[in-house]
Amino acid sequence: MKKLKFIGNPLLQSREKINMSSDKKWLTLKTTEDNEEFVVEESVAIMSNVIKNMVEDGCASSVIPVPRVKGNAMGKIIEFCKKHTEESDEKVLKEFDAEFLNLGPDALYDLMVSANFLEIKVLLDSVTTKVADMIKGKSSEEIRNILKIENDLSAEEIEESRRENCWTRQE
Amino acid sequence: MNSSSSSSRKTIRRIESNGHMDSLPSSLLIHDILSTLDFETLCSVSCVSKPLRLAASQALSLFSSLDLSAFSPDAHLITQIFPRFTNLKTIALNCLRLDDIYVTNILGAHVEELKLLKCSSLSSHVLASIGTCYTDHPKIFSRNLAQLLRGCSHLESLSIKIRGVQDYADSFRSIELHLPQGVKFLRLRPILERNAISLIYKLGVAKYINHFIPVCPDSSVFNLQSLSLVLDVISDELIFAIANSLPFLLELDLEDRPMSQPRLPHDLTNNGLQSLSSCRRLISLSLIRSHRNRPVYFKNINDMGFFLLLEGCKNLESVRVGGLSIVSDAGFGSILQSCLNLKKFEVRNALQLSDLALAESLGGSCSLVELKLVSCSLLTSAFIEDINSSSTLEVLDLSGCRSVADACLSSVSFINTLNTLDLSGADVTDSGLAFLSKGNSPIARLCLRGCKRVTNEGISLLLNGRGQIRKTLSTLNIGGIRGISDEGIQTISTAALALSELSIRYCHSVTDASIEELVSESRYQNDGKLLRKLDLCHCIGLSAHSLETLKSPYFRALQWLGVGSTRLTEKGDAALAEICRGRPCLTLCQEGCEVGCDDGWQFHRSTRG
Repeated sequence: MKKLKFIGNPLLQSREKINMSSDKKWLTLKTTEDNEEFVVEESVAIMSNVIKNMVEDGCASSVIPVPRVKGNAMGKIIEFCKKHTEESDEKVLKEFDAEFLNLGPDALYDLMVSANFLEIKVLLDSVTTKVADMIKGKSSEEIRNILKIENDLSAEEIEESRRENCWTRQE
Repeated sequence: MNSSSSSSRKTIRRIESNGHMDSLPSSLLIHDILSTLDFETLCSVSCVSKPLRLAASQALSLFSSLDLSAFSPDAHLITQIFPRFTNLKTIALNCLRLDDIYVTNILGAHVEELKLLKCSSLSSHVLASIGTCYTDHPKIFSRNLAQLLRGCSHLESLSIKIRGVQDYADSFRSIELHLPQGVKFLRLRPILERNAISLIYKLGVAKYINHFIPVCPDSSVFNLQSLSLVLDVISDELIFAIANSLPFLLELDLEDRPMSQPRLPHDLTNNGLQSLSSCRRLISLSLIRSHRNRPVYFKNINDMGFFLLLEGCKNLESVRVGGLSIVSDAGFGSILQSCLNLKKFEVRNALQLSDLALAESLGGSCSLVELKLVSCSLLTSAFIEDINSSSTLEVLDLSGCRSVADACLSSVSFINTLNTLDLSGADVTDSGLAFLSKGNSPIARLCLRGCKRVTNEGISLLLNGRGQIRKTLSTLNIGGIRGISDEGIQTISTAALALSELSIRYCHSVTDASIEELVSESRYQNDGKLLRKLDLCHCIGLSAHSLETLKSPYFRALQWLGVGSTRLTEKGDAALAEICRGRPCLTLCQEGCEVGCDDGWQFHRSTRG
């Protein structure tokens, strides 16, 4: 089932490429995994280096296919990029990021992989910082719980790892 | 934090995809996430799962700075640790248990900064080999020092401290002949005053000979920014040399340890202080006459000397003075009034410093961050009564001020930024500790050594109150208090959950039950932190039975343990070696050193093998 999402003016219903005014270009991004389409301003979409290169090289046609990124993640990424192109106040952006990244490990994983693939540095930095902060200072059991990772080490391997790294427990 | 509405979709997604954090692309995982973490978290990460273990060890190898000064690694640990690092630039190493060969082996071509501490087992040959093979290194001494200095023409910072042996006093005699021109930071101890004077003249004169133009302040000719010396005596002649040759010095730190009261003309007088006022760029000044060898003082400096000094040096941010017996409140007060940017103020053994000098400054707008008033017997609690509530004070050290009493603590407890409090030897009782427990000072380091009137009740009041201290306390020193017994230790163990360093030296009433309390389950069930340093010297109530509780698997994170003068040593070295088994990071001290052996390592009979 094809779903079309409009990020931008909610009053507009047309499915054609929309030129709101002469100086705003719009692009359609289509996630090939689940066939969702997103219409975004070019200035928002070029926060992704990959898309930026495609536009500059002239390869961007009316619809840009985006593999490997799921619809859900795409939606969130566009929401992030839109906020970051609109807003320039650091404090507001910081608050937005904190609220935005209040997600579980699976969602964060999707965001990270997608941001990495699309080369969106700002988003990638925010998510990686968030993940690093989540595990800073925690014990291995807590890290497992937070990141929902299964323990595939045997008791001996854990003990060996601890012994090898005992010197890292410094002041 | 998963949104419940999408939980079912999430479960499906997990089966379909491999969306686990540990299967991220390795460059992302290692470079962006793991390499921002500290060593301790990386250790936990490597115990989580197989992929993360690999990633963590790769992240470790990327680190460019390694600081192993917190504990003394043995040779085995060194050979285990260093091969994993491929591009270390900065190394700090505690060499208490290492021989020459291990040290020279770890030095790679990339090393830019090297700190070797507590080198009692190293010979001077190490120094020569560092000088010949590598060109960008700091540090070391004697005949090989010259070779080192000749080999390091780009040296910017040199710090050499020789402790514990008297016959090295002359070891820096001609150091100025070899010292590279670019040196910015120089710290030497000990150095004879006459050698220091010729060194300083050379540092100044060399600039003149190289450049025939009039010297201007911002030229790169004057390189030395920071000078720190421990001498046999500070005299006027030395200060004249500094003022003439190094007028653009930023930091000056002089300490002397005379064996007898210096007499004129070989002493510091008001004239010397007046000449020092020409060093207008000074931001840090330290003039200390230490009581280490004899109770000696600066008997030829009075208030006028400081008035003259402060006419020129108005940018001082850190002032440390010791041994001023004649300077009165007027002199000390003038320091606080003239130096508007003053952040650190330390006064030791000032016989005439009283509350008056401090009360006015502390009550007004004062930017002091560190205030240390050591062994100033005239001080009482009055000086801090009216302290401004917007104070930024972080460190308060009143050790040896015997007239400071509980009333002081009631004012201190309102300081929101205080993290270190030292009240050794003060007249503090249990009621004083009750004030601390109600306040919101986030105190992390508390020293109550020798506060003889404190009892178990006081400890209970301190840690069971509603203030912040029970959550923030990480270092506690309650040595020398007879009133502390097993009950007090039990309170500490259950309530002070962030504690990682504890000293109960000379607590005669403490018995084996206390050691068992420190490893009790209740602490670790509540996420209590593991103890890293424990000082049990002179705890004569402990018996050799405690050895069992001190062994693995208890005290897993212990890095330093002091057992001097206790019955724990009576079963011999073999029994003590048992304690160290399975814990290669542990240093066991039988010689009665203070925590960490920072000032006693040179007297150890043998480095623990």
